[in-house]
Amino acid sequence: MSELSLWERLKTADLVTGEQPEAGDTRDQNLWYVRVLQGFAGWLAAIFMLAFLGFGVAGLFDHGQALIVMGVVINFSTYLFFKTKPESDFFEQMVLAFSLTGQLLFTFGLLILSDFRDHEWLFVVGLYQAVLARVIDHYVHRFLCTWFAVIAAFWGFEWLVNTGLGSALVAAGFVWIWLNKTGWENERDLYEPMGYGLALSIVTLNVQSIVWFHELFHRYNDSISWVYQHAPLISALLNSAVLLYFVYRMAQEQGIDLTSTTGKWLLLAAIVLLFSAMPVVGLSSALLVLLVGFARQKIVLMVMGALALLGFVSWFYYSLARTLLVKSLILIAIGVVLTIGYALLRHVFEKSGQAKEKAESNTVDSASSGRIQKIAASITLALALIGVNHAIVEKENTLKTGKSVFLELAPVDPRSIMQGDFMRLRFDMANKISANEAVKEDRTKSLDGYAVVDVDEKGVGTFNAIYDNQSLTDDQVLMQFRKRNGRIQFATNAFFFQEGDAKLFDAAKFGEFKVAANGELLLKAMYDQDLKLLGENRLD
Amino acid sequence: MSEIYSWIKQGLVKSADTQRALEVAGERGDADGWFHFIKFLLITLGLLSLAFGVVFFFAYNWNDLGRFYKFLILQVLLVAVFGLYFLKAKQTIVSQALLLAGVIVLGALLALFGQTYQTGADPWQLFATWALLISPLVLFARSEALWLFWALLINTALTLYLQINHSLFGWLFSSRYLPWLYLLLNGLMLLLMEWLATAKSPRILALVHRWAAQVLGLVVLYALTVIGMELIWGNHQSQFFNIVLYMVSMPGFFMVYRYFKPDLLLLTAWALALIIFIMAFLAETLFQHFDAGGMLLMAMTLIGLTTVAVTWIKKTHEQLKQEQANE
Repeated sequence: MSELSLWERLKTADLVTGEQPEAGDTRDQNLWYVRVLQGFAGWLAAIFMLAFLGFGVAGLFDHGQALIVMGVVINFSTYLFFKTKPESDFFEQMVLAFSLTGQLLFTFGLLILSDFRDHEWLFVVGLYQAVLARVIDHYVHRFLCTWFAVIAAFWGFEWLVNTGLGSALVAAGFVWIWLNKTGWENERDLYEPMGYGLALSIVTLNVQSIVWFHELFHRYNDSISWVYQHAPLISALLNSAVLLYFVYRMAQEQGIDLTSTTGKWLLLAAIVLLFSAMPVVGLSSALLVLLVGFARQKIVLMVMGALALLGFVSWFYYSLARTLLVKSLILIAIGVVLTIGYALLRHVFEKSGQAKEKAESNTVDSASSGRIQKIAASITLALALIGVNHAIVEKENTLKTGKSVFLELAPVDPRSIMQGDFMRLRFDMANKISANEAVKEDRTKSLDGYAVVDVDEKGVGTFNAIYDNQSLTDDQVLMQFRKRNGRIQFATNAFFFQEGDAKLFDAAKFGEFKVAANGELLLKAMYDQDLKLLGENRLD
Repeated sequence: MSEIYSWIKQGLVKSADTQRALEVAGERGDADGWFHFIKFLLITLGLLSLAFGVVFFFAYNWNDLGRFYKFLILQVLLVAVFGLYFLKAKQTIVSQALLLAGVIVLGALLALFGQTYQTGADPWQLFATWALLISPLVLFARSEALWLFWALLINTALTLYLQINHSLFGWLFSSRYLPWLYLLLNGLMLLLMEWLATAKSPRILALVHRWAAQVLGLVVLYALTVIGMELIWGNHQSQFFNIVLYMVSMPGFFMVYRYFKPDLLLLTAWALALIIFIMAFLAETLFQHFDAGGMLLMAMTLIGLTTVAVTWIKKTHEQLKQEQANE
């Protein structure tokens, strides 16, 4: 897209007239990955500088005040340097690294002064970073400072992160900057890096939540302030307000009157989206990054938004606030609502929709592609269904008709291996196999093998030998074992029972395995020393 | 791209037309674009949300629901998703979303089997089976996302496998040769992705965008960097192959992405990989006799290297623009 063709296109669309003006002073359009390189390398160099100062200047790190003063002096010089808009790449990179060192010095100084206690000093660091971001006129520097400012400010207050209030606040700032402040040349270098910094913050906040959550539980169980109690509500309201503002601005730009039909549908969609995003922290902020990215046609933002959404899903999986069942239902509900939304959208705007569909199917390659894709999909589906069902039938068969072999439990205190509603088992035969020469050699090496097991008339199995293609007598069966991490396993050695039945299985002495002809086995039930059934393994 | 803003500021575009002008310049989404995008978002997020909801549901392992019912539900869902796909195969957005959802549900089915019948099978088998089953789908679906997902599955299966076994197909690998496997695997996939994205690949397989190849390119660079680290920090006895590999691959990578298939993103990543290698080499020699001055040297070298890289990238950017203009 050269300048000439843009002007031509604008002319064709009747938006401009006359000759294209001379190209003004277009600032160097640095590509985003180059900036990433500069930022990353600058930061690494700053750490080396810090190490140099720390090891080279004796006693420097004992005095917090000295560090703070040094840091501020360095940053002030940075400010002066970048105010002059230098042309040299080398000095630019060097001063960037120095400035980061200065910030590290400042941070360490505060850390020392606060005697390593509390987290409030981090808030000061955040504030300092915010000032630097505003004042120092360098794109990468601004980006990094904005990002660090958010991290520092929220690190001191994990509850901000966990209740979603943090990402709601950042999202609000993010939307405001991108919708109102970017694009205009002079302000672009001020606001755009901040915008990207806030976007990255939202992504990392989503990912960070997983880690911080555990700390939260230990810290704030007793002292619950008003803000903390209401934070989820506040953040939900804030998110809604931001989202509505976004929709309003978009409607404005596209010239949609909110009282018209289209406008009303838009509002409805926004409200539906709101309700979808409410129960889940971080979903709406991630979504906002994606939407704003599209609104301003910035692919980097859109990718960040997509990554934030993925990060959110894994956070959601691990969050302890609700059971997996509730979470799954929430996700399903959201999915249903969104899908219905899609169907409604297509139906309501059918006329324009149809035109788009035609355009779509024309861009998709000709009919044969659809057919081959369908065949490929059918193959996958068929293989999957056949494969899985065949395996299920096989396993069920083994359970019903496989040879029953009772293996004695190794004498271990059973209470020590009960975990909730399942029991870890150790079989005596495992010890015998471990002791066997062929298996003993390499402790860590994994091994798959078969044991030849003598089965007596009661069905109890005893170890005979490791299978080495010898022929078996009628009383012998093959049982598969695996050696993993130095331990012998028969299937998984895990026995599941109904909650509350733990006492019943204190008397367990034998485990019943159903063995298939090829040596594969499944654990079926536990028996006591008289070979009376205690209970079956819960497979459901 | 910033010209449009200065033109608007100069008053060359009437204020009523600003929005339209920005749309023409590609700085704002237009109405059609928005419509398309919202549709895409709704159906993709909707189906993915449903798929993940199903996964969460079966991860919950509800004891009150019998195992046959669980298998039945999942298989019905799987058939339903694929059935819908057959109906809607012509509509790109919906069909791709359905495929992605179907692949996830398939994984859930395999996981359910493992969870139910506690056979003690190794974890890598789940991922390997999953990857194998969806291969025909991935091959013909012409979706970059699916290809990357498939690559992820295979890499995961390989990693899990290597945790248990130190050999592959009978070749014994000690841990220092493991990066070779990843390099080989991802290198082959990179070649495949690049080929699929060219105009010469068969239409039924072809990919429209190169970003899958770019992601794999980054993975390959990462594997090469690990080999480089091994070269520097590892046991100095049998480094011959590592040296050859690194000395051949790095320049090779550069040649490919500078002259054959110019890609500035991958070139920048390559520069970073090279910088890391040089810095590691420097660090290794410096740490023999550690002192503060060494740290300063490291810092200045890094700054110098970065400057060289940035200047070179900018120059290459200009050169590539020239070359494109001349075509």
